[in-house]
Amino acid sequence: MIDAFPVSFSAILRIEGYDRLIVKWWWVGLAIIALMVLLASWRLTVQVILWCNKPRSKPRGLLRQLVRVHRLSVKERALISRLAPLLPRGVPVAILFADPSSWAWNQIKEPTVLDSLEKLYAKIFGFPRDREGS
Amino acid sequence: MKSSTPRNSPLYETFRVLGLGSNLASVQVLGGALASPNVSVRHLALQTLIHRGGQAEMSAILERIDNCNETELPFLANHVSSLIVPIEMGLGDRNPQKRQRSLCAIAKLQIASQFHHLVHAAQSPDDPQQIVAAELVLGLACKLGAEARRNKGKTSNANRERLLSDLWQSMLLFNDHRILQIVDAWLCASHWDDQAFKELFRPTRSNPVFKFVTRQLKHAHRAQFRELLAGVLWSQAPSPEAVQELGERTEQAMAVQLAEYFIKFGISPIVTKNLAMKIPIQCIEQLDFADNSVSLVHRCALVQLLAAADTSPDKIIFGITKLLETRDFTVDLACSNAIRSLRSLKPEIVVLVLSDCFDAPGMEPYDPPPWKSSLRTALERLIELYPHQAQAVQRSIEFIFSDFRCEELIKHLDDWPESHLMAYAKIVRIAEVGFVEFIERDAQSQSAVKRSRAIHAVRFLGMDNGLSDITIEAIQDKSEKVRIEAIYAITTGRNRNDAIEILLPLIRDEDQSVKTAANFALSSLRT
Repeated sequence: MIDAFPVSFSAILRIEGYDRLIVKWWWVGLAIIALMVLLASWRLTVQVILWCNKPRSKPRGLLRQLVRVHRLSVKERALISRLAPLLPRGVPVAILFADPSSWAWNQIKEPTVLDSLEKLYAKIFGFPRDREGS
Repeated sequence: MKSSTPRNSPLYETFRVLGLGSNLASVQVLGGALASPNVSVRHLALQTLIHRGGQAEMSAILERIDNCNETELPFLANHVSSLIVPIEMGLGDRNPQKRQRSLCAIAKLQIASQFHHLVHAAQSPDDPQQIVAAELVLGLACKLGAEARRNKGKTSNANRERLLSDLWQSMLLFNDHRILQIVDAWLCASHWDDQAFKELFRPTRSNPVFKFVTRQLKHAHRAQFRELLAGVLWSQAPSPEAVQELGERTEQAMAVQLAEYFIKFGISPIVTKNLAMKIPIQCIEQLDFADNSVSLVHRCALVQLLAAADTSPDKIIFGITKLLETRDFTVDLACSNAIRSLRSLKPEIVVLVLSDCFDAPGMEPYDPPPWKSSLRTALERLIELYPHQAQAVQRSIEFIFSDFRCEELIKHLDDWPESHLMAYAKIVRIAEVGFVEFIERDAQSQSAVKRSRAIHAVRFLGMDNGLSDITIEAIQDKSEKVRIEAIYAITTGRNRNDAIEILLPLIRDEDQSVKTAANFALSSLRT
């Protein structure tokens, strides 16, 4: 059956000398399949790369990055953790690094903590607390 | 828009980190920072979001578009192409807040290509955002219109033209939607030199919408409408109907608006041409120039406009005298200019107005015209105020009466009634500085007729300013006629006792005619 098919195939195509080809039909088929496999793997690779680069919301990663940039000590990180629950619901903790007005000063009562917070504030924003609104 | 935060500050460092990478958590933080009361933080957040440039970033900006101030909006307007997609998405969103924010962004950032969405929402009574959209359209129209009306000539502004075109299309459908704010917005965005605005008043336009628009312009009391109508005076070839509309307005605010434009644009040949349509501008004509509720600067502008408008002289002089009565030196220049515009006041008219004589012998009796008494009061007040004015004002008054000559007075001594001569002489005393020298020269002439006529004129010019000495001297003249004229002149002088003292020796004069005249004069002085 395998031998009979090329004959009829050449007859269908009416290509003269097909049966005299050195490369047989199944080689052509094999090449097409190989090309398809190559394309599929290429597409998969692109999708993996895109997936890796896909924008994601990683609040913790951002916070870590900001803590690193500002070289905050463990004690200072603890102060940030203390301020975080005082933020309104849904507001990211990283806002404490971007907006001076987000610091809930009125909810901190202990003078020692306030003192430490003021130092941290000046470290993060580069200006003292009394210049907050400028 | 520049942030005041130095590049090496820790805060700048924070925003540098927030601007990096593909972490969408930064967008939320930056969006939150856009609501900060701290201006530097808001600027940094806005710059960082624009720098990141993603769709989420643009949506974050749109969410806070209401917080953006006048310095942030132009910055955003420069990056409007990035905002178009989220705006269009917002317009199609079912969330009313997102749709409203998109409409707000179109108006605030003046995105001309999207104005039709705004106008469409404003003209659709069933649209949930119709009220907001209508307010936004009106606000936008007021802003663009005010910018255009800062110039007396039309300036090209693609945004304004696009809005006007979209609103015009909507106005044509007015009978379907009946949204008045669309009409108001179109008028607020218009300039007096816009072709469509001029077309509005053409009587040939039969569309009922045009009639409705002009009615709205007439009855709605918006500052923008007043600006539009007041500007018609500075318009190139306005339709007479538009000037007529301006002329019919009587409110004080309209007069103040005209004064504002006069101060800003001045009087150009176009204004003179438009005023030459002789359409009375009632808001100025009816203004009480003594009313302190209108500032003195505005009143000064209006008196000049009144003078330029070819108003009747009595109204102009009344305005001038009211301003001069304030005794404020700042009115002098405006009053001088306005007085000089009265140059066309003919001497015959002034004499006629100031004279009491209507049916003297040799004159055809006539009924005084209705404006006579008003112009007389005004002129008399101006003459009364003359001596107390600054030099510039005095020179202007002298200028308008410069046709009043002593020589002319002497010419008319025989053919004019005394009342006319008194009126004429009153003005000569103001207008001809050298009238005493003129009389003195004639009184010393070789010709007795000339001397006699000069002394005759003294009767009307008055016995002060050195004329008294000339007249007393004329009593000793060799000509009998001159002497008799001098007796009459002294009799009409102000000081009766002095006159009696001077005339008393003449009752023993050798000349019979002089004696008779002196006796007659003394008897009239004693009664």
